[in-house]
Amino acid sequence: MVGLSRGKFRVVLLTPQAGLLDCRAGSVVLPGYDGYLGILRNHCPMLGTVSRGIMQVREIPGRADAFFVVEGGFVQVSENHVTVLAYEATTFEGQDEKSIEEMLYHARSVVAGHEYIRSQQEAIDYDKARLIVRMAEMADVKLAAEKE
Amino acid sequence: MSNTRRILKRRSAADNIAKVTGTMETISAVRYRRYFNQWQEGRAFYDALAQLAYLVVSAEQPIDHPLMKPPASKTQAVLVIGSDRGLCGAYNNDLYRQIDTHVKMAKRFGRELLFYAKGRKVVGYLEHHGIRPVRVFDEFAEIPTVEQTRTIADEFTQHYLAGQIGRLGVVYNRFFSAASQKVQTLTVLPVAELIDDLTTRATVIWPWELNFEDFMLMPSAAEIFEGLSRMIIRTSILDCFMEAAVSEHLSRVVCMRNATDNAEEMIKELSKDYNRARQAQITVELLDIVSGVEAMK
Repeated sequence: MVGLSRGKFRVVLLTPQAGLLDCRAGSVVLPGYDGYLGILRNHCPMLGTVSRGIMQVREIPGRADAFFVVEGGFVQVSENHVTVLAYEATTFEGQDEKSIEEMLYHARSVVAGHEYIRSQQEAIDYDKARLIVRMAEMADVKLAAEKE
Repeated sequence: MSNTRRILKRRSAADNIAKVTGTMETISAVRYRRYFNQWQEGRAFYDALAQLAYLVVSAEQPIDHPLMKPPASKTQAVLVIGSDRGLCGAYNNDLYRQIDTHVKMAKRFGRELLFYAKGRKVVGYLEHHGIRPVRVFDEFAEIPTVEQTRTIADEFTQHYLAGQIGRLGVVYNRFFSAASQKVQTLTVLPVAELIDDLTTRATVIWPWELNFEDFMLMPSAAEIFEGLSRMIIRTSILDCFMEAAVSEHLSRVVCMRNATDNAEEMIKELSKDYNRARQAQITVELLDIVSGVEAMK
């Protein structure tokens, strides 16, 4: 049984704004309908809703694990293809250090309850901020000041 | 003297126009690039969504859901997406023609129309014809955020489920490619028609061996359909706004480039005229001097 689920499969993450990920990976964990859901190779065909949460893509050949805060959507698993359709996804992937810092700093101050007033565009709610902070812990992303 | 001055004045006016249109072209070109890239990035999403929708509706056991029921009302909501500013060629005029068609069709078939508008130009046109739009979307500049799209889509869905509207059509400039954009109406509600449209307009034909029945469903089929149809409605509306914006900026780029070219041509002509007039003036003055000298002899 273990042998069957070892190996890589294709993971695609799409949002209406961008295709965020298209790679092979060893395991995916995503927020399903009633809790987090792990997917390995040779998972049975599955259709499900994705709720808000952190999607983890692990064991990607040649690069670090990828993490995304997804805002709900759908997942379709068939023939070792995992396709996730999300309304929106926030990630540190492919962003420069400065914007990652800003995002994390902002999220932390929201979690700490500092940010009551913000312009509407920048505003993120408390739950999302918490997810971003959690994602940073998973991805081992830190502010420059904490790195030393 | 007055002739040359007049030509100079006209030339400087044309100069100014060329400057303005040139700037507008540059701005729209930048925005067009940005929106076009976003639009292109999103294609894969819509293809995957269409695939999913096809899978769900092709289930052997038809899904019983209020959104799949035939419309209960004869009222039709029309969301028209136009531009705030002019100077983009036939972009808005084509929309107006489509609005007229809807009004005529509604009269012919005895439907009631409710207009929702985006863009000052559209609002102006509707008001000119004595139609008061039910709502004007002016809380965002061109493309709504994810949250705003949700509010818009949920509002329409609720009206549909409550039987207040029987159809929702979005009138917008569909962006086919850089060479072709056309005004069309996308029927968003009833969802069945939207799915029909989405699956037939998707850009890939997928080889499909699995049936809906082969899949393990995470909530029940009805709940998946509920979520999926909401996602289709929301993202289709978002896509309409996106395509309208891409088309608008492309249309403005083309238009402004033509205007700049024309203005530059005019400047060239006027420069020639000015030189000729100046030369003529000099000749006249010379003749005056020469004849004066002749007379003094």
